[in-house]
Amino acid sequence: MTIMQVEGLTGGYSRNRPVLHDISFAVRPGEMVGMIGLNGAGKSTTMKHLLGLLLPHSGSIQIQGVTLEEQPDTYRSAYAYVPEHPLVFEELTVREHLQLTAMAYNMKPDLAERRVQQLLEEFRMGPKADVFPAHLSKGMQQKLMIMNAFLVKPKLYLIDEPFLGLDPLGIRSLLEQLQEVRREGAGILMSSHILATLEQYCDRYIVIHEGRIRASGTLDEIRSAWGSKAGEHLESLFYRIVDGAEQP
Amino acid sequence: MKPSDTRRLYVQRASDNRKRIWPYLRIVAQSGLPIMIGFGGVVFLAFYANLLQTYPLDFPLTEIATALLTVVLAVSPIRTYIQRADSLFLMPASTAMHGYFRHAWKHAYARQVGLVGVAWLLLWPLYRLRERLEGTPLIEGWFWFCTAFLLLVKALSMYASWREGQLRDNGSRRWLILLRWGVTGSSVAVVFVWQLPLAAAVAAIGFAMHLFLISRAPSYPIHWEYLHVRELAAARRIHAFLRGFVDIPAEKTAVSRRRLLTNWTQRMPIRQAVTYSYLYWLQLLRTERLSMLVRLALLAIVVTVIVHDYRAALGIDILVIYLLGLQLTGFWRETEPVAWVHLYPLPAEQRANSFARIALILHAVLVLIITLPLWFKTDMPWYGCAVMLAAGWLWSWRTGRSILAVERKREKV
Repeated sequence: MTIMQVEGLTGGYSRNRPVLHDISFAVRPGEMVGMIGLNGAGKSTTMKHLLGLLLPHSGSIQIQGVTLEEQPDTYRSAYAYVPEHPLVFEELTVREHLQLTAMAYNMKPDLAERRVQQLLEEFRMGPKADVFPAHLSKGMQQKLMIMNAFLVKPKLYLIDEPFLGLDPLGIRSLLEQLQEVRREGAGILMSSHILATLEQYCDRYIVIHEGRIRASGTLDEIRSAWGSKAGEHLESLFYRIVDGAEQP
Repeated sequence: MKPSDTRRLYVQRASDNRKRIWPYLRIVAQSGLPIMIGFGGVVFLAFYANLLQTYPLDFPLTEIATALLTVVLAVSPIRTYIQRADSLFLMPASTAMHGYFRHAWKHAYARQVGLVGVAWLLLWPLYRLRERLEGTPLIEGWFWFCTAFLLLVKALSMYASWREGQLRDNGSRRWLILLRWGVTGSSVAVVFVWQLPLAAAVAAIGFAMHLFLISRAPSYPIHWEYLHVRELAAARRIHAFLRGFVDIPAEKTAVSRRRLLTNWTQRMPIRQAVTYSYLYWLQLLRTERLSMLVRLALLAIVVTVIVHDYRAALGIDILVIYLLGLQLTGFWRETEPVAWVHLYPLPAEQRANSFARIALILHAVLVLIITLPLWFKTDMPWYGCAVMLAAGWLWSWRTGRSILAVERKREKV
């Protein structure tokens, strides 16, 4: 059983020049999948396709068993997204952003209120609850994005470079929250360049290089596929994979 | 870098700015706006000619002249076209920048003197008429003395405004802006109440005090950040106007909390159906967008209260109701959908529907506020006011429809 199933996805901004070629992978309940690749490898384009901001040239993406075209509302309400760069409404305070998200996802008012309070405390944003984004640091704006995602508690989390600008306590809170929702059965797809953290927390990995999946599976599976010795870290394995080395 | 180089840079930036705006102005010219303004102008001139022929002794000339001249003298924007990166790249050329800013200053003064001239030429015949009717004919050359006085006050106000921009502290700046407006307003009022020499004394003492206070406050030789913020605000105002006619990418807008106006939004229920209403109400109420609408409505109210004549008031009201609709449609063009609104599990059409409903409500409320003084303060019969109100509300409905039309066009693209 999968939460998200990507099958033969080919896509990009222009049909004449696809960026992604025949990408297939899945995210299962209670699993954290790390998506890694160099700049320009196609991670963000993949993320945009998953969000429904770009439509596949061919192939399909299913979340909770439906595609975006089939049931847009079911598809969209099944995931929460943490963007790489904070996307904020300048006119709304931190609390109002959370309120807006609660409205959009039709949360019960008492549950929404309780969760907002919990998240504000967890991410130490209580004193900033009534502050506009312009008066928040980039890290705090990123925390706001993360709180938005965790407020809804969906089945799937799509997380793009979440650590940028976060302080160490913020990173710890994020990872704790991710562990918690994973225990509750949510699936997580996280894209990041912080390979040591991914290695510590992810169950499986997808290495995207030049728009294609170059390696995928658990760390042990990738190690054995790429002929490396036991104990080799994700970082050095990644360098070999994207450095032009051929799979044995 | 030499001052002449920085001067050339200013000329180049001003020219680039004109080239950017010009294509949009052509679209504005093709719209119905010039006809509407022409219509408003004809109504105003008819009212003015009638006033000159039948000048009543109780006409509130002092109040009107003080208000009008205070605004044109005290509002002293100086377009500098300063960009964010200038604080890094032009900082080393700070001493040469006086060539740049002097040119900006001259340009702004020339434009604003034109406005002062128009206002003064409209007021002068009324002033002379009043003095003659009151039996105090003016001495030879009085017009030129007054003109010179106004030009001097304009120059002082611009210089003082420039110095305010150098201050480090926003609080001090706010108080000094208030003082400058006070000095300008009292100098003008004194011209119309007691005559020129006393007005000159008030202006001299007031501006000397203003400049003395500024010299005591901490300031930067060039406050790059503040100049950039002012520049953004100026560009935003122009773009907000142009958006009434054409799609222009949105830029960041200044946000004010406005608790009194927005407190009620916190009582909106947590329901999917009101998601976009919540967002758009806050976006409208907390930004310059609301201020622009209120300024337009206030203009119509002030004109109605002052002129008493329902024909002139009607002309201005119709123009303002039309412009309010244009502005609201422009705001919709400005709300370039942030990625979130594509990600929310909500029907796509809900966004435009929510905004159209808000625009209709806001427009209808402003139409009501504009129409009430027409009833109370002019001799227009009640049924005339009722027809005006109904026509205004019809335009509110049309504004909502035109927002939906803009959205349909967007979807097609």
